[in-house]
Amino acid sequence: MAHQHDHADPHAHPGTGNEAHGGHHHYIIPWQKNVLVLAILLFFTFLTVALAQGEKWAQASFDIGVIPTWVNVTIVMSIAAIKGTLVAMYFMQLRYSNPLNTFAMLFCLFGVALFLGFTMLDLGNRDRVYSWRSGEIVPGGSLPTRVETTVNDDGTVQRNHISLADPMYIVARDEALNRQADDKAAHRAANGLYAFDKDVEAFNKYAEKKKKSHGTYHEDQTASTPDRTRPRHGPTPGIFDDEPAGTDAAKKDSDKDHGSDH
Amino acid sequence: MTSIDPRAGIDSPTPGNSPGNKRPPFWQIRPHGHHWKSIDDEFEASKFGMWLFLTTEVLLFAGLFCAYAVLRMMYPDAFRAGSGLLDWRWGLLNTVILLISSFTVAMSVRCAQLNQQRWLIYNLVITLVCAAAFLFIKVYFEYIPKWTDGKRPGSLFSYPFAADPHEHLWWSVYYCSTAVHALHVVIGACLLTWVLVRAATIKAYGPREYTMVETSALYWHLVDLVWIFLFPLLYLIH
Repeated sequence: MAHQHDHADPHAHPGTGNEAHGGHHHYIIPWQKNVLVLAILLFFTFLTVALAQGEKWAQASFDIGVIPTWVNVTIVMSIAAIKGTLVAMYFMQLRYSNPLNTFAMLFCLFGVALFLGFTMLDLGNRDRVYSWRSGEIVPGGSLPTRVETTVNDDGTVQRNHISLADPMYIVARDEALNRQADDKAAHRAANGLYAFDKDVEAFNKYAEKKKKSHGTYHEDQTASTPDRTRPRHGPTPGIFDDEPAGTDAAKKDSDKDHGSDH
Repeated sequence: MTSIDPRAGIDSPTPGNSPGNKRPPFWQIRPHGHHWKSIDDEFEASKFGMWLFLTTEVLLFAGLFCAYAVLRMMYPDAFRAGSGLLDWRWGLLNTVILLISSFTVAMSVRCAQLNQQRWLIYNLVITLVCAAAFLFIKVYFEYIPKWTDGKRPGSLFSYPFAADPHEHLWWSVYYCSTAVHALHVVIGACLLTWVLVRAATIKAYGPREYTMVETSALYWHLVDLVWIFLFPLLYLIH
């Protein structure tokens, strides 16, 4: 009986494995183990639901404010990971089969970790360097917006997206101006000259005083000295003005008739 | 001299064509491909092949999870509002149903290993009933009420009481991930139906030959595994 030739399987060696199970030594899991794993899985399922609901309840009844989202996420995903591991190890029998299967699945999970990890690293830190990059993505460019809802006379509701940030070219221009101001300040500090900002109010007061008393203020103001660059007016409004563009003082500035240039 | 029927398997107690003996069940006599060294090699290779396929399925769902993570990070308020509109009790019931079906499909593999043909069929039937219940709850109690309310994905969104302007993104993620998962439930159910039909009609599976049961069960376990992760992400995180 032990050496019956299996014509359908001529390469099977007699005597290997468990004859009662057809010559294979595959692990047959005891049904009690299956039931135990199912019980543990159901326990974890109810536990995770209870924790999630309990968290909501605790937030409502106790005065602990808002429980941070990461607490909720960590607990819930840890329990899910435990459940998943149990299913993989016992129901899918990874524990009792060729370790190559486990390696394949672990490598896949490593790939998933790379995939999700790098994506979330990128998305999570978009606003670290440029704040205007952290807003919503709309066709034509990203700008953080605030939604203002207005109700028209006929009852229709209008949602206006109001930009909270300047467009990119204005941000870039402001940064260039800041760099220019920094360079100027560094130059002045290096050469022992007055700081530009400290000087400008005093100078403007002096300029007003001089304007009232003399008529030659414009000439003084338009000529540059080795000491300081006088404001110039060119094609870009506000690029060399003392006041920031768009303010009343700058408008007054540009309204002045500056003799020699124009 | 009585000639021995070469179709008799190593497991049959008497030669195949002796009087009073029925034709042996298919699982005993199914020949394995001759490019394999043994039937064991064929089984292990099939199992490994199924595991490789399961890794691709995990990557498919990882893409959906990544979309969830990205959109959640960009629009947390929309996701909080949308998640609140889901009923966690249906999700819990679906989870319990899928866990039980995972148990019964694991038991069916065991029954095939032990040549318990009747219980193999019962376990497969229970698994398919669980699959049908899962799909019914999903469609009838979750999808249809939400669709008629206007909670629809993307540009189909028309829910008048949306709390956040980006809620259609949440619904896109919800419908995509649960629908792709439901598709996998349908595919798994079809595989298991095929196994059930073959087991019921020709006793195709037994201790010597249960590869198809094993691989279909692995696919079904993956479906359950994905739902184990989807349920907390969609229903429980707030």
